[in-house]
Amino acid sequence: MTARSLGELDQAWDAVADGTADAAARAGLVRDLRGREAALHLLRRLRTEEGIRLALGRPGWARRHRLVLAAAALLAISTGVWLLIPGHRPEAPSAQPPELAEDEPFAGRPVAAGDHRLPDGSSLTTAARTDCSLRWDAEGTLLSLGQGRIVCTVVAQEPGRRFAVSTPEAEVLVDGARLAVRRRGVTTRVVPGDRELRVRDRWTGELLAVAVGERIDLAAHCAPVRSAAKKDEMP
Amino acid sequence: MARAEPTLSADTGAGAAVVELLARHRDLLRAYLRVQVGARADLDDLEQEVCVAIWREAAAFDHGRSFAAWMLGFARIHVLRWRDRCGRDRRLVALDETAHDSLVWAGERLLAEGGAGDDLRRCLDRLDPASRRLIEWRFADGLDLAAIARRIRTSVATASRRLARLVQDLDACVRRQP
Repeated sequence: MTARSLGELDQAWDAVADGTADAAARAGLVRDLRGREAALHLLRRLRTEEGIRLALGRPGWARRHRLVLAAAALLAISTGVWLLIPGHRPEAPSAQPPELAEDEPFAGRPVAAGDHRLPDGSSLTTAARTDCSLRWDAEGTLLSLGQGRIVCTVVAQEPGRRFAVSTPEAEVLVDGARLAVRRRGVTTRVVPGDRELRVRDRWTGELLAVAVGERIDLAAHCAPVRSAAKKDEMP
Repeated sequence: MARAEPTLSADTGAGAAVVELLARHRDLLRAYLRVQVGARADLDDLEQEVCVAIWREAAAFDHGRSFAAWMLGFARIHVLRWRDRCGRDRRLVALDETAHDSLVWAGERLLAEGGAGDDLRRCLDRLDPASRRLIEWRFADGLDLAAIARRIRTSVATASRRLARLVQDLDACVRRQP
């Protein structure tokens, strides 16, 4: 392939990457990629571009210790070991049934899809087919998300109480803030709504600040991925 | 730039070595996926599915084989499943076997050169402010070429060429690193 045709390949890829390529252009790209020189040229370019995205989004993403920890964590989950922050055990039943108002239907039980008001005055919306449970006791409120998506508006917590959203990959302590949390497969996505949040990566224990307008994806096996939140996923 | 790859000896463990390889060559995996994902924004989700699959099979990796072929083979299977779920999305690129094989060959060449990692960050830090801004608009903010062209008051083709040249320069910079 000549230098000119490699330039054309770049332009063909730009159209694909920006979503402006038609079917014929995409088929032409595939034809080009059957040739080794074109495949090497494009893969080299895209590898550098992905490296740039990773470098700009998450410094230090390739540190070995993170991945080894992540590997150990995935091994743990695959063998049924549940990693928890000390003193915070989402699946453990409350030793003492919480004192709840009579009209509080969600204590210690799965939360159905829909809009809910929680005992502390916070509000919660759960999407359809969401697996979520609520614990509420003297220590505070804990929402455990198994799969699906929730949006919470959390009121300011009284001294000594805390409000946490927990998944196998992440824990978010919230105090007077709005957020969306989605878990799909083995990935947790956290999107702050109105203020910066601190998200704990369960696999490394690292506390990660996530700004408004940003989202973070945490998974057992890969370093966290930050990106701009889309409009439709902002809580 | 050739670098020592993690070995799959008994003391490191096959799983840990594969995870290290995966971390080092994550950009290559994402590049292969990007070719097929095109303009869709859910590359991260797809990457994580592939990462999980690779890790689960890590112990089965034969260190006598090409890691690029193994990793991209997993990726191909998951892309095909993912395409089934996505339906007829016009933004997707459907690789045939020949194109996949060419990309695997290219991946092996790139893998032999080693991962960019910290070297790429150093090269990014050396960019002049205008070039850095272009790179950030495109790869951190996700602006399309038309939006970038408007910002720098030029044509889409010129913006495309400038960015392609910058990416090539960064790649060359990484390869020059000791």
